[in-house]
Amino acid sequence: MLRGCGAAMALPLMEAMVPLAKADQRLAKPPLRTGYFFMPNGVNEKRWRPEGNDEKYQLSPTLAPFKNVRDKLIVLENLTNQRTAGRNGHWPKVPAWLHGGFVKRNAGSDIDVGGISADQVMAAEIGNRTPLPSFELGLEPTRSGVDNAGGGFAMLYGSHLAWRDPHTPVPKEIVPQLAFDRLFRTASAGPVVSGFNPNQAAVTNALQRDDLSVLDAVSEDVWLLKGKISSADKVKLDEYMESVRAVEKRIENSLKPQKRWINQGRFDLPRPGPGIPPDHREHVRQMLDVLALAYWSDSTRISTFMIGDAQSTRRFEFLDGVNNIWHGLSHHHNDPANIAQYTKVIEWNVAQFASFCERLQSLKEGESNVLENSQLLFGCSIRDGNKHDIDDLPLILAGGGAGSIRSGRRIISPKKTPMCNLHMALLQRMGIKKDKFGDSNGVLKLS
Amino acid sequence: MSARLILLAALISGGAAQASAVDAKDAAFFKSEIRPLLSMYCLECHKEGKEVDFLKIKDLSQLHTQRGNLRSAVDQLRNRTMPPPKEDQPSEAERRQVADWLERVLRTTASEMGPYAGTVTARRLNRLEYDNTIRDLLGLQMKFSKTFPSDGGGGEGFDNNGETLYLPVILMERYLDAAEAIVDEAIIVPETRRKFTSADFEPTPDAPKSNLLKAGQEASVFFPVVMTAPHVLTLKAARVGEAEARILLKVDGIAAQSFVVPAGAEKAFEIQLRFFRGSHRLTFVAESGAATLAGIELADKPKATSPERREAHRRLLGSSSSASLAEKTPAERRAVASTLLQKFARLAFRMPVTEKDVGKNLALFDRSAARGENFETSMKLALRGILASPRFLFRAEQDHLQPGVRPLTDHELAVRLSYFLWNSTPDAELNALADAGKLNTPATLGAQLKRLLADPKADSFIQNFTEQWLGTKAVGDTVPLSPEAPDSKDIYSKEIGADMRKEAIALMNYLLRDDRSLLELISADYSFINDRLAEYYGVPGVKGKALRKVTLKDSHRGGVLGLGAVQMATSPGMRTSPVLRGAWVLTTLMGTPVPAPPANIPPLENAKTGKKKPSAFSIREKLEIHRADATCASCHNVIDPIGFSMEHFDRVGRWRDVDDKGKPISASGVTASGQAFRDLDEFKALLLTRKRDFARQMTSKLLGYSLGRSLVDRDDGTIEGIVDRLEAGDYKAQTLLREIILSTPFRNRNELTLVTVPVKKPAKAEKEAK
Repeated sequence: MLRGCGAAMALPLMEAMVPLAKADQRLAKPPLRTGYFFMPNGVNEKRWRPEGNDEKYQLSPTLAPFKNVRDKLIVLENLTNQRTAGRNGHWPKVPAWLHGGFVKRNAGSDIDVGGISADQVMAAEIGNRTPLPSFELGLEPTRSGVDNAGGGFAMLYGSHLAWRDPHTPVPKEIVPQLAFDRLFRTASAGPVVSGFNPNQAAVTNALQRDDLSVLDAVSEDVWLLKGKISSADKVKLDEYMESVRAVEKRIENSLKPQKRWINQGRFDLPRPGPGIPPDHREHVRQMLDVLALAYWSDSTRISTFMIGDAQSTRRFEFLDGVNNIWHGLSHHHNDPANIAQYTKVIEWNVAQFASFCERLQSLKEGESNVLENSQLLFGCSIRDGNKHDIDDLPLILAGGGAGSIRSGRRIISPKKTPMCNLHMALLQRMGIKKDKFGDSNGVLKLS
Repeated sequence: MSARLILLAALISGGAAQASAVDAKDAAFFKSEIRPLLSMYCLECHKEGKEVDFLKIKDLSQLHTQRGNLRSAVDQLRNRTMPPPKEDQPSEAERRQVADWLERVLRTTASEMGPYAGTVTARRLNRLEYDNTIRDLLGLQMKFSKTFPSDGGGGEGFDNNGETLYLPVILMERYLDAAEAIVDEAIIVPETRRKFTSADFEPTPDAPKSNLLKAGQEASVFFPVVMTAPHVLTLKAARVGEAEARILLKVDGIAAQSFVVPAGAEKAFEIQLRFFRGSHRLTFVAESGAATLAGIELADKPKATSPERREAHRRLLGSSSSASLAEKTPAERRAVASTLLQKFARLAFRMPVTEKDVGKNLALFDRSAARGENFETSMKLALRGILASPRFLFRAEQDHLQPGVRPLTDHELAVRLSYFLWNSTPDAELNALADAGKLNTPATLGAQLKRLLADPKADSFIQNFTEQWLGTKAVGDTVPLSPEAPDSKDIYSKEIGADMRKEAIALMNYLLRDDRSLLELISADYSFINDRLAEYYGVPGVKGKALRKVTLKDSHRGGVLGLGAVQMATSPGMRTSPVLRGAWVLTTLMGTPVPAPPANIPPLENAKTGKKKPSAFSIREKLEIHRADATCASCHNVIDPIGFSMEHFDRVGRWRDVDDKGKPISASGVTASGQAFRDLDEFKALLLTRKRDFARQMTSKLLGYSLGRSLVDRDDGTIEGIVDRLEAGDYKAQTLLREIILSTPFRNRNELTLVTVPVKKPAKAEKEAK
């Protein structure tokens, strides 16, 4: 008996999923990808800031893991989100990270984060070019409830970077297998194979369109309900309808060829097992693998990744000498013993991102590689976890921006430069034209 | 989001403008103290004639004309969003005084506005409700919602709050997948077995014409799979010729397996494959040598049946099956399908349905039947349409398009009742009462409350409400080990955390089901512990793994303030936090909002006090330094003393007599109103002098939970009424539940807008034609 190939659908899926695209359906050059990587609870600022100016900068102890991709790194300094000042050290600062807006203190009746996150602005404009308009990943489940002791903020604020409008968060996927399947969701409606057998085309076609006909049926129910309910309810049903339409669009897109970038070769990534791996290191690795695959296969060009949610209580028991939870450690009270643990946790997480960058650099596409064709922002919404200060956010940008970014240097902006100036620069590179974004007062020069 | 704005506007402005019957003392105080303060800081922008002109009221009797704006003023003062940063700012004491005073006056005058029901947004089922509903509809216990993104909470702080139950794209995808998984589980479909011969090989130019596959040749078969399932491919192969025959099997064009056909007699092969629903291609490639392929068979391996699956199948299809309907005409089969679909839709949509309601589901049935799929498979597609429908996924109530308060229909009321107390769909008895129109009387509702509460299904309500209200849901998931006590790894364990969470639930369970006084949440001299937790707490003489009610010799462990889970939930850092504990008591237990801290407060560690190093101070000393600043003192004088009453509990909930630095603990303090207490017991006695505040908070939380919406200004009328009756009824727990169920907002709706939206169907997309 032969070894089962239960994973056959999962293995080198690309050939089946991406229909043998005709030459004119392929992009001539690799696309630019944008990724945002959020780390909660701040950094140890003494080990974060590098020495040396401009190109001559030296990696600081915290940034040391970037030694192999130093030339693709920019350390960004003096950027800030001034509208997140005060009120609470964590909750309002997360949603504002990607748009700089004023987040309402709110328990949930009228959630308002004061802006649309940069990734969702991109997704709305150019997301239709890939099977997934944007990809939201994370490692911790959304927190529910209201932090009464911490100022009365709904804690869901701290679990969402991506906001499709100021009132509606986009949740993140935290289970590797589900994230993986999401890339290939159309598989459940039948993979797109070339060369239909004329005798079976009708059956095939009908099967693949079953989901669409179910969606058709439920849309009718929406209209039936809509005649009878109040306008408050209509808001919720509109949300339902919008999601129905988005899924329909995705299925329809998958049934017709899209103009995509097709990488040659294989990307061997077994379909992850079910659930969340008990070992956190494995969890992180699998999620980043799925993201790398998403970029490589041009399944999406826009992503957010939450390395932890605000006030993450994860305990990194596999790190020697770390015995307290992350958020607890960030309130280090300037005690050297606490700071030592805090630093270990931060630097382990930074190293994961650094090795992700190395991985992207090793993925060749044409003459360049995936890292070269990316702009990846990594950082926090506060600087020191003990002070929750916001005047100089710890931020780094990795990637060559498809040739548009002069990387391998330190950019020290004037004090209190809006972080939105950076968002402007990244949006522009994705082809989004805006005169202003959030509280921007210019465009950060990255070239 | 314009609809959202309309709704808010209606919420704020609704209501008549009759004169308020405020008492003379308040009226005078408004004139002498409150209005002058408001004038000083707000008048310039909010005087008569401005867009928001709430200061045109000169006299408190005009209160009702500006309730919405005044409520907003309270929130903005606490949020520090007003006055704007560049304007003069009130002192911290003034900020609190105005906000607290206005809030109290608004609350006590709310009932003058008449009965108010409010509008509950169409709520989608949250994950728990989804799983419970499927369990009760079909008897399937699987957690089908496990792939859904987790629900964030809001409103009064619960994850059943309509406004924060979003429906993102990813969830819609998962609803479709879950619907498929549910029907796959529920409906038992006969095994399908597919045989392929050389006649089925796809007619490509190079394809073999017989079952002999020569070197380099490829033979493909192409077929649909209607259910995602493991499959078994069996075949017999025999080598032809001298060369070693190696056959590569491709699945959908991807190399999956290769196998060598040995010399000699025909050999049987069995290959395990897994196919998603959809069409697939199997390709046999002779990489080397040649071989004949015979007896190619692909069988799906249906999931093993179980009593649970058979029961679900019976509930959906009764005794109908493709076998029993084999002799019927297609029209007759369709009629059976229609009846079955109506029966299920009645339960899934939680209201009576007609044939028309399942029309499009029947169209799905037809679609599948037209492809020649069997009755069971066709029913599956039709049922997916029900399980993905907004009528199943949302609890929407009918609009009556008239202003004012309208009673819910009995079916809507049955749904509210069962989702409140069971987080699930109404059962047969509730449905029957609703069908007969007999549910909405106080006597019947009271009887149903008792029945529902006694049912084990109410466990989920008690757990959910308790853990979200007290904030103990995630306690103990990640364990903060104590650096000062390296052995704490051995003392504390995840099991202790789980016991603590259960202890909190057990306390609430006892109060609700045994109809105890709610004040025992503060005053209890007992707790629910097992041997492990008893040892941890230092309570002697408890044996056994199950939590049981233990009467305590000293009362500090009794009630919520003695719960280890509460002590841990309020200690996120490496030490206890009297500030967080104090704020927890105020906001969670007593409903006293704490203003947001101002920007740029220096950390306690930066307190400059002569030559002594900050780390040399105890937390009590640090906070005293903090309070020496008048700005900080205005709030921290209220918060900190309360927190200190719990200092005997360390950050992992153990009792202690000395702090981290070895100094004896003092749990004494003086409240902001000047009442001194020596320890936690005396502090609890002080809390019990504020029974009404506690009862009001408990009522608000439970009312907000039961309604699944945020409470607004006018709900205060309902709440004060319930608190009156609680006070008269010894604060009995079931009195509270009963009063909530009988309250105006629970049994009625207010319609906020009178906009009729014309019902028009979207143009039918011609997807089939494409």
